[in-house]
Amino acid sequence: MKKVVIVILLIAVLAACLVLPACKKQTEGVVFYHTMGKSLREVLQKYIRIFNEQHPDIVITESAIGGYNDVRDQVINELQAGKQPAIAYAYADHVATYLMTKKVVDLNTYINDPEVGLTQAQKDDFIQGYYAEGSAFGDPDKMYTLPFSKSTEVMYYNIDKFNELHLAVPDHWFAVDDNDTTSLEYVIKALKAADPDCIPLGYDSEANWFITMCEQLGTPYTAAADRVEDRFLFNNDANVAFLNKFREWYQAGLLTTQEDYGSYTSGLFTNIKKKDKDTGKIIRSYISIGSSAGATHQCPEALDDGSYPFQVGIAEIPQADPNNKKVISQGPSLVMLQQSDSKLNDQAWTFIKFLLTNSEFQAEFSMASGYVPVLKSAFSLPGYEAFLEDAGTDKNGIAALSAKICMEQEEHYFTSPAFVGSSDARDQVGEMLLKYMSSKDGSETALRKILQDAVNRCISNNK
Amino acid sequence: MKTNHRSFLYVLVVAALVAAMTLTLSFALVGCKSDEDDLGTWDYTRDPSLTDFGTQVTLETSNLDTNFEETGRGYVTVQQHIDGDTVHFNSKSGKLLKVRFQGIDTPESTGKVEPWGKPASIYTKTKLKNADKIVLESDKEGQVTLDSTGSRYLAWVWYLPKGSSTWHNLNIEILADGLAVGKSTLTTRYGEVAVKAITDARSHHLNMHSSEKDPLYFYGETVDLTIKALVTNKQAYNGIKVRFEGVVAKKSGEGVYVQAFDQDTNQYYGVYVYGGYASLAPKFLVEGYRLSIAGTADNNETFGFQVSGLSFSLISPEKDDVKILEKNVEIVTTTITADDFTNPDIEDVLVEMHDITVTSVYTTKNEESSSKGAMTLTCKTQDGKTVKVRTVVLTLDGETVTEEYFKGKTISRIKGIIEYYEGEPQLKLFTTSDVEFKQ
Repeated sequence: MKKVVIVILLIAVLAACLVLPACKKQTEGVVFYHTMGKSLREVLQKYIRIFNEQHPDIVITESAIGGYNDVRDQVINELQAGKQPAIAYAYADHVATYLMTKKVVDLNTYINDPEVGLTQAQKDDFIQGYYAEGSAFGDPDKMYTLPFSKSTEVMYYNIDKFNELHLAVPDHWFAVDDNDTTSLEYVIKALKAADPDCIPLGYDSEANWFITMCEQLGTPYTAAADRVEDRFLFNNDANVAFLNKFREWYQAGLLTTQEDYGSYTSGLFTNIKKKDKDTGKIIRSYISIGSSAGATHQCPEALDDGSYPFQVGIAEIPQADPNNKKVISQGPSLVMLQQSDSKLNDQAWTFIKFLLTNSEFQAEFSMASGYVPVLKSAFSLPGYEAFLEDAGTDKNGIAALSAKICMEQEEHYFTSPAFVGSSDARDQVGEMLLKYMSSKDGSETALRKILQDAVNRCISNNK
Repeated sequence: MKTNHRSFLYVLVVAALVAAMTLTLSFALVGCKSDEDDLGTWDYTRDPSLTDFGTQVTLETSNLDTNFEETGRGYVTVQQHIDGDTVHFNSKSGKLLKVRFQGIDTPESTGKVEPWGKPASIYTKTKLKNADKIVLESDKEGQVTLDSTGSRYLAWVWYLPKGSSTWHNLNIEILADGLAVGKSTLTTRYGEVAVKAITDARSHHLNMHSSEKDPLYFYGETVDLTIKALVTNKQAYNGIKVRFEGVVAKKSGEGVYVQAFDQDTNQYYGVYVYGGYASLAPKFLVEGYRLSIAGTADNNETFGFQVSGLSFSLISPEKDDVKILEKNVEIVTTTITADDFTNPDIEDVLVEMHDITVTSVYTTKNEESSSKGAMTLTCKTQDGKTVKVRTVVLTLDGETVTEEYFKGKTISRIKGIIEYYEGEPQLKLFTTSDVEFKQ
């Protein structure tokens, strides 16, 4: 009788497994959420194959989720359901939110482990500024992220146009007088005068622009204060001063931003023939400020004969004080999230350590992506040296040129304090900047209200 | 009694078996087949017990009889299917709308091919083919936006299935069926439902979130062959990863024409290889380099036959990465006559012709065409035969070359690639430096 019952049960289980998707073999192992496109995934998959030669028992399931915010939204969603991945691409703001769930693993428990941790040489191989970002979450003894790859903002400019008009590459924002030829203000006005149809400057990230200006000028933006009301400091006279200047430029048709243009401003910078639907004129920009990792998108497409319509130069973004430079630190880090099976966390660490201490992976990923390596040793690999030697002003050398410019600024990188609400502050100042510049009502009351509304939204979102 | 008991158990076992088989069969029958002649076959039907996310959002239907490009909402018809998240529509005004679906990113199926790219393409095509009406809607009310290329509208795509009165949001359905990942999804007008759809697809392991392999993607070993074997068997190798050797004969756009000599037929064979946006591609795809190239052969209606999906490495190249075998190799140009135009095997080969006279010139003038300014030259050979030359948009000293440059002139030597346009062969001219006129 018992045997028959077992047979029946086996048949039932077998039948169910044949038809129910939930019974499909799902050996996901260590799940890793990222935002990589096909070419970067190929690099990652290559190093997963190498990793699996050393660790055949560890299954790594890498999964492209979309953009950085998509990863954040997906992870938050899954943290609530207890289905979070073991590893995810992360920005500091995202981690600050994840920390509320208490499911973020303190990587120091692995890093400092005498058996599986990092050696001093491995720790020292990280570019220290990037490495330190992982412990900037309020408690210096805890390390919540490790750097994966880095970038910053750079200024792309149309070399041909600059040469034609004998313009200097600007190194600061505001003109001291009408002959301040190395100011951005002088250059964009000169470009507009030469080509009245153009919008001389495209700045991709409104939020980055505002935050960077605060950092360069040393004016208040946010603070990781206890009281929510004390965290959002960006409505102040000093910030109003630069906002008014940008508003003046915007109203004069001297600049646009990603949200204003409706797309990455590289589209405007690389445009050579697409006409505006309203005016029928070809509208283009001659300066584009965007991520150093997006260099290939700032190059115009090759013409059918293989040549390029213009050459692209790359320089550091303008500064408030060229003697005290500040550029924003971008690029993902890795965060580890608690799994119900702690073995998966141990395996995740083995993989993170393999990937982030591997100079060959760092170099290959950099060449394929435009991001720069986070390990010093990657720069001395012969293949990476050869890559940098080819730095140039067309598609062949633009990624290398961008990487070089990015590396030269390593000591000027800054990050903003990450806390619960810092992500809101970033979103709000981005929206606010465009509203401020484009407001038809230019009265002080109206403009100040735009700023205060942004502060109020930050506070109410975090109460 | 014992016998009866055993009989009862046997009946029970048989009943369980029958029940199990019936259950299996009934689930199998729920699935339907979507056949696509040009893309292959893929079977998928959404389990009806799953949440229908595509109808959890509602289309505002009060004013659909308008032009999407002006109002941000309006009826459209399909002009051309590109892939899972890109379709060309015609708006009510007849304007061509190149549309990238808002908030989603499907794997690629044209230009380069990724796993689950073709199923996503079939999915979108099938849904829109079976729609009574289609509406595009911008993410922001009354305001259309462009994608990162600046050339495609971003839109939510709604469709009314034949015989239904409920509008379905196709973007969300694609996410819900595990055929796309999100792209800045949460902040969009339907973001909350869309993110739930993604989570649901992931937790049910649907399609690209499953451990199953894409039935339409080639996972096999790379096939080593010659360019001749490849281009004379295009359909057979469609979708297959191939590896061959050849010399880069001509650069064109983001790709190159590669050719190799075949001793048996005593002629060159060529193929177009697309490098895409890979930042290392320009270091490898250089005229005069002899390369070992591994990529996916793709014969599609949008781009014709090409090899794409190349990978490059300067650090530790693997077997399937593109390799430079030799630099500064002589690029051989095959001299042809009008009679050779009938030889289909010279497609994508670098050729030259002598002594042809331009009898008429046609210039593409369509404002919306990327070929605006390109010309077709109708030419006569010395023995009175007609051949066609198609130019790219040529420039000389910074100015666009116009019809006067060619009209009535006799060309002593012209060099280009043979390609087919609407089934007819023509010589494609890339630069004025490849033309010499008779003095």
